[in-house]
Amino acid sequence: MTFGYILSICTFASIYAILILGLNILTGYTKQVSLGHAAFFAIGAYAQALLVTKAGLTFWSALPLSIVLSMAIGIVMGLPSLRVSDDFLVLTTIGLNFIVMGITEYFDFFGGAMGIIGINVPSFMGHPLGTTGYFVVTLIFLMLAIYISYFFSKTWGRLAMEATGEDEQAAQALGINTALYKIYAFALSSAFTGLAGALWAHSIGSLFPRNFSFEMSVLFLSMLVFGGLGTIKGAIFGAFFLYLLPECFRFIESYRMLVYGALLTVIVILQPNGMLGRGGLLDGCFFKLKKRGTETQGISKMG
Amino acid sequence: MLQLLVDAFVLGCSYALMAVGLNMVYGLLRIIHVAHAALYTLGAYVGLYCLYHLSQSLWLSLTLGAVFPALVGALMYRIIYSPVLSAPRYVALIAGAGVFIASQEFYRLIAGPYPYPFNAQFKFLSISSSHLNVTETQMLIITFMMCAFLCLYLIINNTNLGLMWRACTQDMELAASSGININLIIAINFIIGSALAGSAGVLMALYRNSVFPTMGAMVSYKAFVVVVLGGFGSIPGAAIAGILLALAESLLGMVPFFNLPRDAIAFLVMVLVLMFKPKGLFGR
Amino acid sequence: MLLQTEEKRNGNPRNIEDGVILSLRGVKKHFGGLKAVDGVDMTLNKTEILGLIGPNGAGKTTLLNTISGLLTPDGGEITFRGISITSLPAFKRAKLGIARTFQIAKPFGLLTVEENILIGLGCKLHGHISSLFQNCRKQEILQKARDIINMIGLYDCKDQPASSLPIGLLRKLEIGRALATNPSLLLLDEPAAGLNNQERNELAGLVRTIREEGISIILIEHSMSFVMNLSDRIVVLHRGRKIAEGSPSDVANDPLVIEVYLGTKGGKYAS
Repeated sequence: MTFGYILSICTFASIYAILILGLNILTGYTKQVSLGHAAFFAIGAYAQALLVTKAGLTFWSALPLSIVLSMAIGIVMGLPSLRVSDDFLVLTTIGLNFIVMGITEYFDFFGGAMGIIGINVPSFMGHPLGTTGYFVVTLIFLMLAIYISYFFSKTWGRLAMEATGEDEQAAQALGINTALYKIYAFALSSAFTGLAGALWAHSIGSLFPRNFSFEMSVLFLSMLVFGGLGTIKGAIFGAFFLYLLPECFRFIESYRMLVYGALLTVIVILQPNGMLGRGGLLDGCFFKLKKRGTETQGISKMG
Repeated sequence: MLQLLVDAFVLGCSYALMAVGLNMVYGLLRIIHVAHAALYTLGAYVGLYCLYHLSQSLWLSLTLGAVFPALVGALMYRIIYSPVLSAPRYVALIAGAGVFIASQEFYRLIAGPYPYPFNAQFKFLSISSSHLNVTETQMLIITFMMCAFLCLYLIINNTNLGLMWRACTQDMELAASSGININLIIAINFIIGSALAGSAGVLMALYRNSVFPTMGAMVSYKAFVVVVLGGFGSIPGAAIAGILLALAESLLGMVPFFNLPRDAIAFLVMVLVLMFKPKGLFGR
Repeated sequence: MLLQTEEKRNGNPRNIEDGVILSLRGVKKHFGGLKAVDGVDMTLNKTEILGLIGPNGAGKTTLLNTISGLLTPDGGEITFRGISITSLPAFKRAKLGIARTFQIAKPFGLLTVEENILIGLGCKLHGHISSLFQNCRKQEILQKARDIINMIGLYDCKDQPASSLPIGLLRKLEIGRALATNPSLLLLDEPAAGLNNQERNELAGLVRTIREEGISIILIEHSMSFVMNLSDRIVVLHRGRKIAEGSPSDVANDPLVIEVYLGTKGGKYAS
């Protein structure tokens, strides 16, 4: 358990937190349940990896491109949500996983099954960033993501998305173009997720199609649901907790996934609103950074 | 060519057997029963255990490989799904996924990650001709699947039990207030669906001559596609769609210039069906 | 004035003939073989309260749904403030000034009462990409929200999640939220159902106040006393068709209407 190792886990945890913040916009606010976010994650990661290894761009110049590309593809992948609803949408997103996985595995452009290796460590001002440096960079992006999330939670857009998620007909009766907001949600969500993917690519150094599996999408959704669907604090908490949990179980390495799966099932049954959601175990535990009224969950003046 | 069709048909049978269980659970409870995958593998392992410790005969393996998962499936409903029926639907989804993840690890821990051969003895029909070779195993699978679907179809459409089941799929509350014991119907639903999944596991273990912890994964994912293609709530749809999908996968792979990977085909089909014909081929 | 009706004060926005704000011509809506609305002609005058009545299954809610845009008519035309809205999607109609409540209240349960009202206030803004960046909690907007909340009497629970409200308050929230969109036409679908007498009287008072603000109203209601006392004019539907129209007393004494309702309730309302 070296310091480097701890930093590395913290880096990954932060990356996942950024991703879950993105997932929160789509699944938390707009209630478009996605079991395909590993696909969006893959797109961000592959975009960054390809730009850096094949087009020779630096980390910094490739990053905005990866984000924009993720956003564009995210919008396209979001179009089915306009035709398809509820449970069926979940199935569509499951399909997206396999389609993206299949494409990256099959076409040599993406490195095929051998993947992409040798994604370089980024540099800042000419100095290569070490583990610590990269962690700081990731942390800064996480802070940025948190800031943007809080900012967004106070906008009309967030209210419109929540309305779309809760009751489309009522939302439309109030002037909300629900189809458009679903697309906006996909766009924002995949922007965050693409960023996370790009950061992940450099952190892990090599990409293989099999990384971005259906199981990974399940993990992402679980992080959000566990932490608290529709809450920013919940998204961050869920990401950190469920990522770090298996790490804590390293001493029972061989039983790790068994415990993890069982815990997931038990917790989601007992706490469907999430730990930091309304009525959750930890609801109200954490310091409320903003004045009341900016977050919908966790606010209940009634007994 | 004909041989290819036969092989595809057999694969399709396994898809169909898995899909029908998923379809039944969805029809009744509107839950996407992700944990269904665990039952397929369970059946295979139970069958394997029979072979090693009880008898070399396939029939016992098949029977126990169906019965044991059937009970486990009903138990899954009781413990995992029934508490969350009124919660938002992603809860059941994640709970099922948790079970699925845990189960694969469980099998790995108990039996080890490496595949076991599945050497069962049995006698069955086969066809050997110059044009066509259908092995005993293949005949068995095809026959089993057809009998299973026929039985299921007859039960659902010609018996009281089937009538009650159909009532429950249409309106659970109304069915309950009409005096139907919905808990019993749900339990039977899971028992039958899980039994079919378990038998599919045994049969495919026999066919591929291997049993390993993650064998259920891809079949289960494809089963989702079959359910969508065939249409939710349609049992014959599941059968036909299962065969169709397997055929499509085999045949499309032969078309020149068609370069998409095989598994991706299935899911592309699913996304397209959901977008343009969400009721599937035969759905209600 | 509480609600801003700037457009009305700035003069007629479009050519409106004789103060007719809504006109339906031959509107039809079928569900398979069922003709829920079978060729209905109707007009609504500005600041009029129109009561829409009829036995169960007459097509009242379906008709309302075709006006609000929840359903698209299979035939006929609907014109609102001179604009043809027949094929316009619901959210665009809301932006043009048609607001509605639902028979079974549809609050945004997870959001607070205040946030529900805010969504209504944002009606014209929704959809623009700037909505993703604009803070909705500005002083003027919060003040407007508070004014509406006060008007409907929900100030004490403005920060509570809407799902915690009892039915009477939910109904008020529905109306408040619809009013927040600054409509010129308000469609009320059985707003009095499930309310006690005192609540109904308050509701009637509220509807009259809304009309005084310059808003035209169509009201579906099963409670005869409520709708007859409140409406300027009544339209009676039966099996998807209009069978009578006129003042409450005229309609109440119409033999066809009496027959359709199978009762002698009509006699009570002769004014």
